[in-house]
Amino acid sequence: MMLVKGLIALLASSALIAGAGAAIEWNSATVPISGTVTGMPESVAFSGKVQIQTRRAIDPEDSRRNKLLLQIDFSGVSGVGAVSSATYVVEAQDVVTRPLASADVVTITFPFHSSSTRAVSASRTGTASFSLSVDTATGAVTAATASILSPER
Amino acid sequence: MWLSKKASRARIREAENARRNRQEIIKARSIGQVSRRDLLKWGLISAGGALAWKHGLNPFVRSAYASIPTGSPLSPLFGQLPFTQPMPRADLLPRHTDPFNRQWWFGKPVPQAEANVTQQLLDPALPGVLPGETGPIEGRPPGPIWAHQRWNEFLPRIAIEATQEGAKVNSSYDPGVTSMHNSGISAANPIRPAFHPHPNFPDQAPNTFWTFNGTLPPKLALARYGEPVLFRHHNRLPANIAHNDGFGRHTISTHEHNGHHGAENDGFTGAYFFPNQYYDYHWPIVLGGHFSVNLDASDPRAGAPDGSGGINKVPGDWRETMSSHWFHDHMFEHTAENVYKGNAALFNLYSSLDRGNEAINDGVNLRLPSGTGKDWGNLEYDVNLMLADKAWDQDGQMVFDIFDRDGFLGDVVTTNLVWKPFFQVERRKYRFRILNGSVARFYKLSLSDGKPMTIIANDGNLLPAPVVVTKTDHIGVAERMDIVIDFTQWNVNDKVYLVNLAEHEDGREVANNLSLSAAMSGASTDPGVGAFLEFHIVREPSQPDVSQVPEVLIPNPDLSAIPVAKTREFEFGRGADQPSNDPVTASDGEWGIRSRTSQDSGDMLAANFGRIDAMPRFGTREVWHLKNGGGGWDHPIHIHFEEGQILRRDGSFYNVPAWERGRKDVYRLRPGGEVTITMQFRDWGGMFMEHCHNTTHEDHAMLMRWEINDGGTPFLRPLPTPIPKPQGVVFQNPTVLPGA
Repeated sequence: MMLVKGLIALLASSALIAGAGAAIEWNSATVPISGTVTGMPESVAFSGKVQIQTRRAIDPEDSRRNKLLLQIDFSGVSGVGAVSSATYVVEAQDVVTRPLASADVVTITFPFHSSSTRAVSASRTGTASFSLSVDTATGAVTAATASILSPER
Repeated sequence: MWLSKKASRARIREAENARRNRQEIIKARSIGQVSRRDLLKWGLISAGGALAWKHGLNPFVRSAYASIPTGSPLSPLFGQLPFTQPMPRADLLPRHTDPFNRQWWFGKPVPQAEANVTQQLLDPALPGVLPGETGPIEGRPPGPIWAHQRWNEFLPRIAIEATQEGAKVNSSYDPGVTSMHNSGISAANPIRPAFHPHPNFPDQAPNTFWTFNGTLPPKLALARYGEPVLFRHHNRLPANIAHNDGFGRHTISTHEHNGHHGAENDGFTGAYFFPNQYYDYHWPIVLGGHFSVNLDASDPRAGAPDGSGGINKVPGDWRETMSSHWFHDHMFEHTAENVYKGNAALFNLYSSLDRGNEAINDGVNLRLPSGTGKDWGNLEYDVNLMLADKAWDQDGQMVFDIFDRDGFLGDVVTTNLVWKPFFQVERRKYRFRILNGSVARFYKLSLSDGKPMTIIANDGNLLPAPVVVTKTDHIGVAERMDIVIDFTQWNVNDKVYLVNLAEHEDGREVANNLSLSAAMSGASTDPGVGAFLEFHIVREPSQPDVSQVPEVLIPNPDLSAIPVAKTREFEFGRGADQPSNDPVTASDGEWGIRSRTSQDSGDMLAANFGRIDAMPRFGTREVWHLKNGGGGWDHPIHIHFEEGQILRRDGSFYNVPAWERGRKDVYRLRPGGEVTITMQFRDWGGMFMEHCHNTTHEDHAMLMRWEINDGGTPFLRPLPTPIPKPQGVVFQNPTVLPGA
């Protein structure tokens, strides 16, 4: 299994999202990611950028209970089949809750499928691992590495 | 939260003693002997509702045997291993096609529009009843206001009845499928009231477990659009309020979640009924917009199976079709106890779009996994799963803890009320209608090998389009998520598990989302994490799998052309005021809802079902902002009666995930988050509710009454508040929040 680590390049920004209610601040980071998922019918090499939005949830009674909420969007990632050269699509999004910490490793699974097949009938699974550095004062991701690999069996 | 599996006997004994000490107080509170104010005065709870830090009472006080808090004792498993016993399919409630035949109603009169106030001799064991006193046989509030709306237009065609009673053996189990599709369980064999069928697992005592018909598995009702149902619920719980084995209230009010019916059938929290009474719930089963859209019933997408392969077309908006409901108790201040105690049942709705037959190819039927043997309602490949976490004492009897004001968590996750069962499947597609029937626990579900599954519905509403995932979002209490699993991804004899990734430290919110490998490792301190249901692929399909998961399911109704009549904000938080001292309608809990409109800035108020906090006008559309008042909590907010669409999360539509872009009735706010929704108010009227479905929060005052204002007859403005008594319901005038 080939594992390609992403670069520690990310674009962090903080955007105040306009809304009719009280706006809630989310931070946004774009994290390069790459790696290969092995398995049948063929291995797939992925590359692209994952959009990670984060915000803090502060517990007013106990700071040890503060959380980091992440919204992870894989729509900027695609893959290429090792045999067919077919394009593989990742439409996944995930919402993750983690204890707020200055460093964290978030490992999640995601579905993908060949662009020539339907997601509901031919999806496979990959695993994405993110090593995140987090500014606990804002919840912003300040540095990240990311990789894609095959799911554990 | 819980003691380690390796805890010494002395520590288990100490924690068990603390729980027993609390149980004495819990019982006194459950039967109305003490109030929250009493507990505050005695120093047993804090102003915030937390249990006092007293040794021998609070499980988190420094142990006599160690320097760390003890935690609660784990529920014993009586030597049993997981995944060794089958999961029973839900138990079908019989459908009778002649509701006006008296033979069905346990000798009681046939249903009628207004409550039947025929008098019966009351049991003097009921609270406030003297020997010789009488009261009405039906607990529904009397008179025209609580009469079934449009009764003559929607005369019931199906009769379903159930009792609420103490646990007993089930000798009339009907899973609706053969044993081949029920993991080999023979319906002819009696089913004990136990969380595991092994004889080592004790039966629940009759007053510990109060279920529909007093039996397991959970009940399932089936209905079709355009076929009005009369559900009669008989209360056969003990007349003596103290006969509850420590928790649970013997008065009940049954909410059809999320029925689009008149409020007299909604299970209003203050319209509860007493032991030896019944309540007739009239469920017309109409599409939203019945009286304003598709009036000539010309669109076959608005329809129901006709029983012979065709469609009975009905008025209304086909885009409001619903599929997976449930019904449960809504007793004021005691919902958590009663639902936990067994008052929860499943309800599948069938339509021309979602008819429960995967073979009929009429251009309308979505052909979702189900089966083919019957015209509609096939269950072979359409499986209801009720998830509920429980806890029991060293004798195996269920326990509950109202002092856990964050939200009660059990350490044992059950599926269809069995601990860690297996379910045999064929190598083909299945639909699973998953209900979170817990008190406070959220679930985040994955298959044990991470393989994909497809979400087709959320909160019982088919999504605009299916969403392929490898795990779900958090599923809040009362939320439903219908998923399709294609078992052709595995081979015959393979096993795969449904796994919970959401780790709790308490009932406030999810503390952590674990990776799949971490959840499967068994290392979590939360016993509710990990695998809880085994799928065993036992054979190739017994018939060809002709089911489909279409690209398009049910698009949302487009409300953009309807003017927004009003915008409201509801903030959910702690530290609420209670301006009323009404002993019946006003809760003394610490949670509350701040209702803000353009006319009123609002105070955070504790629940009072005699107070109307919002009065949307009949036939209008509104926008509601639901705001979490803090970052240390999550609240799954349920709004009765109308489906809503999420416009924004935290101010942006981008934050609304694909599985929440259909219609919903439970809105998880997320810690420190907010959700903006839009709803219409049409077809029916009366008093409804909005509340947190963490039922611990709900019972401690995070609930409000709203009422549809006018639109014509027969509604008064505002409606008088029912005050149920065994001798009959009386009424009092409500208060109305300024700006409501």
